[in-house]
Amino acid sequence: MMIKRERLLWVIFAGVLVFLYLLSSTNLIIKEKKIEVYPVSVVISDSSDDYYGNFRKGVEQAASEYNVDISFITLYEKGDAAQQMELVKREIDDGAEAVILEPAVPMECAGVLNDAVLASPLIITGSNMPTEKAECSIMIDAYKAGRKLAKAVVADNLSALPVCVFTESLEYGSNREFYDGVMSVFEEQNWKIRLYQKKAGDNFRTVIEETVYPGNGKAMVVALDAASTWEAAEIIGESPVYGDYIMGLYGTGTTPALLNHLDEGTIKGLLVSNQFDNGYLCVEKAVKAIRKQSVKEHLILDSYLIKRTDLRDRKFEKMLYPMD
Amino acid sequence: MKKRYIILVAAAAAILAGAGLWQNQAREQKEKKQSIRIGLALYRGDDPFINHLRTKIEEKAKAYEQATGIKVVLDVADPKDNQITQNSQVERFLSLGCDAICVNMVDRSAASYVINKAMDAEVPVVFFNREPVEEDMKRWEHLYYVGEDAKESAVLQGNILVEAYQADPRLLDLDGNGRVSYVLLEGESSHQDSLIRTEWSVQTLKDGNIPLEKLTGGIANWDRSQASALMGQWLEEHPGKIEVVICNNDEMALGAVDALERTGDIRQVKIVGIDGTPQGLEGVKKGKLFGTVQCDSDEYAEVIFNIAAAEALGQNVQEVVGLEQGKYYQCRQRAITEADIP
Repeated sequence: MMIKRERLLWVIFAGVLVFLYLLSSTNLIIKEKKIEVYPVSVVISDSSDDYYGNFRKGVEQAASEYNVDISFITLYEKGDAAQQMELVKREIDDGAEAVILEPAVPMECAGVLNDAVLASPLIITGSNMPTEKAECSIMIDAYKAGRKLAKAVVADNLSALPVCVFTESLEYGSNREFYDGVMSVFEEQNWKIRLYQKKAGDNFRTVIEETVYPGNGKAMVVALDAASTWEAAEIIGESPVYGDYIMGLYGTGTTPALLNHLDEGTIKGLLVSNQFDNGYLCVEKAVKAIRKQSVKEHLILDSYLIKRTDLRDRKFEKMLYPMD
Repeated sequence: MKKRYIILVAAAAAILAGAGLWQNQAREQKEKKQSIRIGLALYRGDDPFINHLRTKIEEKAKAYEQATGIKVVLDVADPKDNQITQNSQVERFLSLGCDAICVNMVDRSAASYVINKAMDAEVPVVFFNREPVEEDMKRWEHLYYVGEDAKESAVLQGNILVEAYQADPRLLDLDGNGRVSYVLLEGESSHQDSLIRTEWSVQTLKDGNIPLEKLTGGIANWDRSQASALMGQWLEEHPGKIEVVICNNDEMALGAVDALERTGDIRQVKIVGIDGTPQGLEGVKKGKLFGTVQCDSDEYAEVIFNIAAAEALGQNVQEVVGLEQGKYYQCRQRAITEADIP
């Protein structure tokens, strides 16, 4: 016969078991910390992410640290601002809590965004855009960067040579500002400039071949964007003959292919910036904006002109080949 | 009697209500699928063939999005040839709610881990390029494999050389000693295609009555720089003797070209590859490679994407893509020489 005290002990024991069960297996007593995942969309200005390797690494690093679910969106067609704005709208409608935007054509994008009501914060990167809708913008000073590149060209080439300036289009991204910076230096030197835009139907190969074959003399090539730099480097790298006429190729970009061309000597100087930091900061600012923390600022990243020898410099090595 | 009618009416009402609810749910589900999410796990993003395929898959996703209006979110992960990293990337895809995943295994024998996780999450898997073992593939009806027929690639590669020899033996027998001296650059020993390609390339040459002499061979793991290093070593060991270089892929073929250029060997050594990567085709166009076997990368990417999209939308995959045994697809291939490139 169980005495009353024994019964009480059994009841307490059962109660403890129930309590332990609730403690360990349910959310009733100790609330499990809910990890909030922030959906953020990155809408770039290109139709592929070929030139965004380091930027993506920065984005992914920040995404894993801040629990961000990233959708990396490329355009169907490069430079299509109208479509890009539709994609921004689509992403917000689909639940993106913030959008990181690299405007395809800044003026056109600004025109659309200024009339739009955005339900999620917008972080701008890549190029300056006249809009109040952005919570934060992160970019290099393209005008200054252009001047930096042109000064390097002038310093390397004491005698004035005709300069072929290659770009996909001055309308795209920060190409216009970059071009203005380049031009400001060359005009000071009274150098002859010829501008070639792919969008306007110019063919870089024809331009380079025409420079070489009819004996038109020597020239230099300055490319304003990564795609043009890569294309020019591929053409010039094909034959040593080009090297006798094209006295230097200068450009911009940080892809491994471009850095290899710099290492091989096809490219004489590259204008680079810390793309990893750029990507990281964009996501960090996006998360802060989602958390309603103040991020209203205009961040200007440093740009650097690097030569072949700089590739082995620890500072640039770390910046150009970031770890995953 | 009256009670029986009441029961019948009540039962009919319940059935109707159930059907209505089911229809509503089905409609909701259909409405919900205006967006699909697909995870794409590569074995190594810097492999030119895989990178080319990735680009093509992205293009297909965009084309699909434009054609159907269904949004496609494509998450791409590069584990840099590390199976443990790939496992965690696959887990991340599943936790992010991917509707289907496409996996290019780092180690094809480790597919069971990926399959277990996918089965637990009920997410279909389209394996490509590296075929899991048959036992693994049989474990679930939502597992697929898209690749190329390794024997066919090898026979096509061998035929490039056979046709050249039949046209003029001196094209291959550079020193005119009546024997074609060749070396072999092989891919990873663990890759299912590597052994088959090697075996059938050589067999095709033998079947074509080419008198062969194997000088040496080695594993360069599909890699250009490893192939270049091996070839450089062989050129020193067999000076002026190597006449043909048979490579399991284009990257290694280009590595062999690099070694020849580096050592200043100007003989017309015939180098053949497989894959038809943009770099490989460029090599053929410039006469650096004697030929390659191009798989239809458009078809390859399209089939991978279409299977994943169909599964993500709950469609019958067999109605979208014709599969062998309900889960295998082999892409078309063709031999390419300089004459085939405009």
